[in-house]
Amino acid sequence: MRGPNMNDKKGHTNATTDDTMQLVTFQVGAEEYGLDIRSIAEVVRPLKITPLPRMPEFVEGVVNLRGVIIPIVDLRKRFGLEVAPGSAKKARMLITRGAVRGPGSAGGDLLGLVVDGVREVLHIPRQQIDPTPAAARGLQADFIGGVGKVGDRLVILVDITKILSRQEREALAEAGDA
Amino acid sequence: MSMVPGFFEKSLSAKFFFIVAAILVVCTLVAGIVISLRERSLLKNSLLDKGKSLASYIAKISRDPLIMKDAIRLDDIVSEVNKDNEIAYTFIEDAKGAAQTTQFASINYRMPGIEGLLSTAAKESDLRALATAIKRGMAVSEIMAPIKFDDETVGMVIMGLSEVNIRRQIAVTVIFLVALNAIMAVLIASAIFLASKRLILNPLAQISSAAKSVAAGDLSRTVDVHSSDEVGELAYATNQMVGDLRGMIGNVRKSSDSVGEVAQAMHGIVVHLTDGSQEQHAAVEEAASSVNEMHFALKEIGGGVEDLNATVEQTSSAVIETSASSDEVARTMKDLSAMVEETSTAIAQMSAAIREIAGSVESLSSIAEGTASSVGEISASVKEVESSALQSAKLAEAVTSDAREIGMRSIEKAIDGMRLIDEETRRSAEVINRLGGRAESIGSILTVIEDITDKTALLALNAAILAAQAGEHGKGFSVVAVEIRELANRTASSTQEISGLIKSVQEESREAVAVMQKGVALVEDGKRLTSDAGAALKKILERAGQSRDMSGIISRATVEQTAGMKQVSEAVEKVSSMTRQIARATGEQRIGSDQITRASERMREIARFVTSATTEQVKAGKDIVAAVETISIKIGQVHRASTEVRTGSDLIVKAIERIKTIAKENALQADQLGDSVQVMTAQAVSLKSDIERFRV
Repeated sequence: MRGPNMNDKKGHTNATTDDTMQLVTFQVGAEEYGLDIRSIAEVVRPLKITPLPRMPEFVEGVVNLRGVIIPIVDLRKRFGLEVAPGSAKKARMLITRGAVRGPGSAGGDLLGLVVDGVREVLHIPRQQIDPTPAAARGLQADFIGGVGKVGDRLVILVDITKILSRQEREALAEAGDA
Repeated sequence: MSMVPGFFEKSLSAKFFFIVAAILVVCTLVAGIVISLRERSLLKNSLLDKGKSLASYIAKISRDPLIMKDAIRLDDIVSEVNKDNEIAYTFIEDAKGAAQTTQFASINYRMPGIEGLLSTAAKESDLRALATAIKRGMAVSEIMAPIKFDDETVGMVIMGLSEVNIRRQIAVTVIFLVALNAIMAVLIASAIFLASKRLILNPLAQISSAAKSVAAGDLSRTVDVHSSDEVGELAYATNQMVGDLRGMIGNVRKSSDSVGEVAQAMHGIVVHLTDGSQEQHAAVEEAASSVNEMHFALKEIGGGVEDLNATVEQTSSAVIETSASSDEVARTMKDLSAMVEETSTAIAQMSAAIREIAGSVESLSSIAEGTASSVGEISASVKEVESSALQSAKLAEAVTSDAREIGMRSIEKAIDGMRLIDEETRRSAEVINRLGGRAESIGSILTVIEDITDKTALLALNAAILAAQAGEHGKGFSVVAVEIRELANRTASSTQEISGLIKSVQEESREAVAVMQKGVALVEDGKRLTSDAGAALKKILERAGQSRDMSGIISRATVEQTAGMKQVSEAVEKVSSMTRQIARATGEQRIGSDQITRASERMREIARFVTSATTEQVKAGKDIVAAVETISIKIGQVHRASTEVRTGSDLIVKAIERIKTIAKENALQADQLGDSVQVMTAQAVSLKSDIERFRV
């Protein structure tokens, strides 16, 4: 948990401008990932996940956040990683918006992501964000929006609109409408 | 040269060896010659075949160049062929017999010896002449092959093949054969030599040595050969012969021994005989002389006897008177003697009694002395016992007081100290346990703090997110959220540190409690050990008291003993002095009685002597009377007899004379017998020495 204030001072602003991007960084396995701060509704401790019958296979279940029912996807499973047994204490749920129906839509657009821990709010200049390396591009990894360099750290930027495939989005939308 | 035949005659094995070697050498020579001839013809045929095929091949390929008069091509062909080391020369002639190849290309100059041959035939450029010179100089077979063009001979290929290689090969073969045969010859000859030595020569040598020893007279040797072949039979026959000889010699020796013994015995008999006859002769001589002497003595005796007769008559009457008086003396003497005897026995009895007394007094004295010395020893040891009893009583006293004052007190102190240590250890263990409990409750408080910090951090994060989404309006709020987050982070790190500290405190307090528990156990052990020591000390005290009492009793008893010993010692001393006095008195008594005994003994001897003398006197008197009477009778008889003897002795003298002459003749004959026995003995001895030479 080092230096979020340092980045704040460097950025001079809280909002995402044309020059800088505000990210919430989190850990899945050993890697650090970033999500645009605007696509995050809230960060909460892991809530009790209730699996529902006839749910799509990639969804763990649903949680009840202050009366709102939100489907949950475990990013650790989705990234093909084992769930580390000692990480339960630091684990968080990121409540995101825009994953199911695109940015700007309201209501049932929320999706919970289980991660190994949330690190900080990060300001990063756009020129320090590289496009996805050609080697990493593919059907499995098209949710990667780029790679940000902060000092000698690398932050993998996640595009929230592409975290689910089209079929999954449709499946979830149908489930949500039903 | 003279040694070799001698050696041949002596050694059978050498004969075998050289015969086999000679046969193998002859075989080698014959085989070598046959093989070399055969190989030579074979090799030569193959060489000629090779040459023929080569020449016809050259004829075929050199046809065109020959027709075209291409001398360079012909030279190439020929020089190529001449590289073979079995070919001495090759050249090509045309139909007219002129050589179409150069001298240098046609002759194989690399072949050894060719240069020398060519230098002798120098300056002749004609190849035919050179070829003839080479043929003369070395073994070369020449082959000619015509070059034909439409059945017309246009030229001739002439080729010389050297036989040098063939000879070398044959030489190698022959040398190899000879070497192989030489090795074989040596091996076979050695094998035959060894076999003959083992099978024939060794047994023969044994038989020979046995025969030699028989010739030297030793018949005890036998030949040790067990084979059943001819040699074995020879050995068996030899053994049988030696056995028979041995039996014969034994018989001869036995009979010669018995002859010797007989001769010896006869010799002994003869010697005896000679001695006997000589003795006889001497005895006869002696007998004759003594008979003569006797004859004269008898005559003198006759005169003496008559005088004696007269005097005996006178003596007889005087003797009868003396005899009567001596009878009276004898009677009185007998009485006296009996009285002396009685006195003497009484004295002897007394003396014996005195001697016994003296002996028993002496033994009494020595016993008394022994008693006195042992009483002295006993009293000395009693004194030692007394002093050591006193010492042990003192020691026991000291031990008791030390054990009571120092040992018991220190053990009690140790027990008290142990109890205090135990209490303190228990109390500190309780304190430490309580401390551990406190640390645990601090830990539970810390988890609450951690939870609050975590929640605060989460709130700050969410606030930052909301602030960012609020845009410009949320800017101030964002700063606050960052500050809160920082605070939460700092709290989290310090709570982590505190929880680490508490964990170590808990661990250390647990360790301290364990150490304390060990201490308590050790203190428990110490308490047990000190109480054991106390019990042991109590036992020591009891035992020390007992030993003190015992030594007191011993001490008192020894005092009494000492007093008793003193009394005993005095009594023994008295006994001793009394026995000394008695001994002195009995010694004096003994001397006196000895003197008395000696005197009575002498007296008795004198009485006995006198008695016997008188009885003898009486007896002698009577005897004399009787003797005198008989003498006078005998003398009368003697007188008559002496006259008869004198006539007899005259006859004896004459008989002795005759015996003397016969004995002389006997002695002579015995001497002759002795001589002949000696001759026989000498012959028996020489026979025996001849036989002795043979050892059976």
